[in-house]
Amino acid sequence: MIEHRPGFTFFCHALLIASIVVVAFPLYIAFVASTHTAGRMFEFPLPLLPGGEMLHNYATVLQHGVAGASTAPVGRMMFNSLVMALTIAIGKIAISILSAFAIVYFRFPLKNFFFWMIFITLMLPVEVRILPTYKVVADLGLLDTYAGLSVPLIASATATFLFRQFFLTIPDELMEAARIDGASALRFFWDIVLPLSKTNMAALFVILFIYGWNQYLWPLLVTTQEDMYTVVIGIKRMIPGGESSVDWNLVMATAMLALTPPALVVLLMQRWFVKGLVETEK
Amino acid sequence: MAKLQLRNVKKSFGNVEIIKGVSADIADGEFVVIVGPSGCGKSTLLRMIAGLEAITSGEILIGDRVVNNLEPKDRDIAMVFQNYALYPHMSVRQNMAYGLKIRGLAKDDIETRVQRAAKILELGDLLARKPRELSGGQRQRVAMGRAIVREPSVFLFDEPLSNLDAKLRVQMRFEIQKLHHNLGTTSVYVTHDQVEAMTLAERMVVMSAGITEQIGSPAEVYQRPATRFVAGFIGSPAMNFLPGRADATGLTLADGGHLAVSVPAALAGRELVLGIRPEHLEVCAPQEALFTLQTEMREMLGADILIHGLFGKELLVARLSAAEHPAPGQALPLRALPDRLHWFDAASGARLEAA
Repeated sequence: MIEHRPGFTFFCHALLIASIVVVAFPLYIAFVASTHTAGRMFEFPLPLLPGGEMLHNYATVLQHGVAGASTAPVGRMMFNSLVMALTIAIGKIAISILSAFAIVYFRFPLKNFFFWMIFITLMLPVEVRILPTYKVVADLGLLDTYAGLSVPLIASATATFLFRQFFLTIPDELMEAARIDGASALRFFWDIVLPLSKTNMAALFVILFIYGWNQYLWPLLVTTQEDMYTVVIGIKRMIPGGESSVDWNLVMATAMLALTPPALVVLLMQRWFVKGLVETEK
Repeated sequence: MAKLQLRNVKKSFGNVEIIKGVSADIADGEFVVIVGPSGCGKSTLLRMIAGLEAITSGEILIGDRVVNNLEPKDRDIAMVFQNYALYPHMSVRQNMAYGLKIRGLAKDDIETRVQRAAKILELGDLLARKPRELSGGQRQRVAMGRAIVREPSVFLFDEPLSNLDAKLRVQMRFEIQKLHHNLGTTSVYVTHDQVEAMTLAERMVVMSAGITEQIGSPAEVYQRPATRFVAGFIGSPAMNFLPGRADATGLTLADGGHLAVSVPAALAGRELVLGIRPEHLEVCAPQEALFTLQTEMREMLGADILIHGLFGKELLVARLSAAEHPAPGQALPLRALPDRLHWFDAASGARLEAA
């Protein structure tokens, strides 16, 4: 739609700017809060300009965490979150691309049955199977380990389904040409399918990394030791209920740190997204 | 290089028989075109030769080896696909080298072969490009290059030109001919386009509904079509058919019309179909005429003109020199030389020889 009415253009921009303010303002307040002393956070009005305590606050949370709250240093928790999110994202992509490859390119008994089983699990949220999963992980002695944090979240119907749909768009002739060229199934997968799926994998990686990073319920269940907490749990732990005062500046600093990696992933992978949209030719 | 033999090859998908027993001997170095309408099983047959479809029964031999149970890569063939099937993420060089790399050839050896193929196909400047940066004709050449570097016994072409525009198709047809002339590799080429079939083939296999209707040189197929199907399929515009009963005075058509044609003695009294190619009809004096055509419509082709008209209830076409231009509604006396008449059995469609 191409319109050339100044009033309309003005209206559109006003709407966009308003939306940006609505989204960005709380983030800005959080950032400003993370640069002041704890005491300043209880004075009225709340500061709207950054203060001078930024480096101090961030160094404190990264190295020591918040005094009084039962958490590990934020640096440690960020590392835990990173390991968990990376394992989930990479594990999910690896498993689902292989199972999609099997479903699309091989004929085996009960193939459709397996596909529908995978498809049906799409409809089950993690919470439904959380108790049996917890039991399994506990019996395997995986509580408070990285494996316990990430492995149960790796199996993914969504990613399998997405890869299957993508593979179905790859022309059969490509597979036949590879067969005539003498490529084995795995060679075909490695040399042809995988490179063609690059942009899909990148897009999925972004989504899955954020999914893994934001996990709350599952890490809360399987971690009992402070040094295995993820940063998302850590933030909650820093806000004790009841009478005790909260170091809002430090909590906000942690929050800023916690949202940096997902934001970075999105920013860095954005080029791949665009590439994926442009390079549709197969 | 090798000869290729099909021995009563059949293919069924479930209960549906797609190929109903095809036998053919293709000599070493021969260029054979399989031609037929959509769904006649020609592509399936080619894919069975390639090893991409299992053979339900019968035997396929490449050289002297039965290849029924061999993987495509072990059959010593190369195939060119209709949509080229180039690996989109690889450069032209990598596309051509991929099969050789898998076979474990030395790097120098691969490079030599790729360079040689690139030279033959004039792809030298394009080796570093990706398929999406190439035009249709160039992609087609890369697909052929990928086949050439394998130095196979048999080339298989699956409608390789049907994605190209008309002008490029003519050019590529010429290049394929040149290529075959230079390399002399046994080739099987599938197409639904009879012009491609006629121009490229040393011998052609005309297929319909899973059976071979005729195997022969383009000239044979054109001049002496073995069945009514072949007669109607090869030639453009299609042959005119006049079904009727033969008697001493000529051919009596179903609608009562009569054709004063000398029916060979052996065919008298039978239900026949007379076939006459539009290009073999010529204008003549009314007393010499085989029949008189009631002109309905004209199509100007440039050098020639097509006259569509009625003889009784039969819609017929004549291809005349453009100098003739009868007005619609005009009666046009036409004749054809006796040796240009084709006779087919009305029931079986088989060709009946006059002699």
